[in-house]
Amino acid sequence: MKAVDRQVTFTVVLFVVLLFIPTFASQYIINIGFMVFLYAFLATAWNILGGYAGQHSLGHGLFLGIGAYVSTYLFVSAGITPWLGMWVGAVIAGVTGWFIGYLCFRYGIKGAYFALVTIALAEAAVYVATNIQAIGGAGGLEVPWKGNNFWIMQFGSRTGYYYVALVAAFLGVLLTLWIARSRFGYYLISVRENEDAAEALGVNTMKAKLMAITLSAFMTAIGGTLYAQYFTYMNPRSVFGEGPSVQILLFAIIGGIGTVWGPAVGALILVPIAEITRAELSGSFAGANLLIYGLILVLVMLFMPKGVLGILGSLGKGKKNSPGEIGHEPVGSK
Amino acid sequence: MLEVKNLTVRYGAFLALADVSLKVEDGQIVSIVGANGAGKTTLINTISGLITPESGEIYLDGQKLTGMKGHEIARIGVVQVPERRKLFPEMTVYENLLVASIHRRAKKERQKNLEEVFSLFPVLRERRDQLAITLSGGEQQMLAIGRGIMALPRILMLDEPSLGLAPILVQQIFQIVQELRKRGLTILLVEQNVKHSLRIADYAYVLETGKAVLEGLGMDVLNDPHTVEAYLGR
Repeated sequence: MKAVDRQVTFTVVLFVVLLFIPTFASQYIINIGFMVFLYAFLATAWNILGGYAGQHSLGHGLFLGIGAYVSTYLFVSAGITPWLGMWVGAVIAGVTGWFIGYLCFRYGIKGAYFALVTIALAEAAVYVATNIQAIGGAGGLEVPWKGNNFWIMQFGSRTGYYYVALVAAFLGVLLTLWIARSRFGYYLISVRENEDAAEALGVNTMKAKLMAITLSAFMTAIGGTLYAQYFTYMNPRSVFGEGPSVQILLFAIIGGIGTVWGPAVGALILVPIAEITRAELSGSFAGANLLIYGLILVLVMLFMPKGVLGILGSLGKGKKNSPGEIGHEPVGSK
Repeated sequence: MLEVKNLTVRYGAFLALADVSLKVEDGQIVSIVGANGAGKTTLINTISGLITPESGEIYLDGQKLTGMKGHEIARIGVVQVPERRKLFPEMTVYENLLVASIHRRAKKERQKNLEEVFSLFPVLRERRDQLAITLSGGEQQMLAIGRGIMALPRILMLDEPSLGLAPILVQQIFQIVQELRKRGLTILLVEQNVKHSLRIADYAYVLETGKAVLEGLGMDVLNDPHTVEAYLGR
């Protein structure tokens, strides 16, 4: 448990250090900082379900979009501050996540099939949103600028958004630290490692998975509100689409899924690369930034299939790549 | 006492268990032997609530288990040590033991059970902080049994504990099973290793293609002409 205390201390110290970055950094750096924190937070949320519980959602854009659309719609149509709308969106996303989980897990849908269901539902959401005129249809929804005002989560400079995203990422990491050592965390990991064995030892695997997807969706929707407030514009494809869904999980995979810091490290590595290659290359060689980005992804997948932290974690525990299978066959396969 | 009454299980059109009935008295070792595909694992998984039977009922001390969820059945003390061990490979030895004792009833006894597991398997104490995936086959089987003990079983169901182990380890595992009974555990043992498991059994059933074809005291079943001819090849 001492190692955890040290990690908490480290997280708090890092948080305090990052608070001071805006006092000397340029707006460009602060912009990258915001993106790192936002994606670190989103990937951390994904990681609870995908990394700890082992249920790989490829449709987290659904929850991101719910968060973005709900808070923005409430703000535009009723003047409700995104600080409140954020929680409304989060609850709606949480309930949606629970419902999806209930349907999938009740009928034993897991692995690749679960991933396919999440893709399909996020894709369906694109078309549903496109056909609802009240939220702008295909044209999308814009967050109107009402002036620099903390109480409506609008800031005159990027620094304000930087702090909001920093706090979100900080709380996300702390939550994961808690989960990793809690009874809930052990339930999730046992489900990931061997669901049937977990159930046969008294773990309520259904409940564990439902809690994971609900919490993950809830948090992702909060990230959706931050996304909407920062970029001030969304359309169905930009939030519900496959783009954000895949991006979120890439950060987690590159950093190391199922680790506390993996998603944050993934965002810290990939966001600056994406931003810098875009800034440096998109003028002269259109598309080159995506090529380089893709190349880096392939290299990481090839040489660090467990992600950056997965590698470090393995070294730390002195694990060898020896004895292969420990019975990953489904129970009752014969 | 565990009672299985007229259990029938199908996988689609395939009849896996046909009208199987059996009893496991407290403090006994009851062995179920049979060839690959006879339905042994299906039986254990149905008792564990991981498979829903087509018909039939299962009772523990009069309490009906059929219809309950897998984790509920485990929590009242019907605990499985699964075939091929099914450990949590990326957890340490200690964490594997911890997860099994995390529900309320077992948590109270955790320290005592942990000591018991470590006294049965001293090697697990040495390997406490190692990932389960790094253990040898025999150690993994010990951990799987230890994990079962941590869940505070009223009846422990062992599915092919000797599978894939070297002969000397097979001997050791069967000794451990007997030791567990001495300590008061009730054991349902499912095995392909007919000779060994019948020798230590108080009572035994022979399963063939989903049907219980023979039952009796362990030694009687072992010496039955049918058993000798079909399984021992003498």
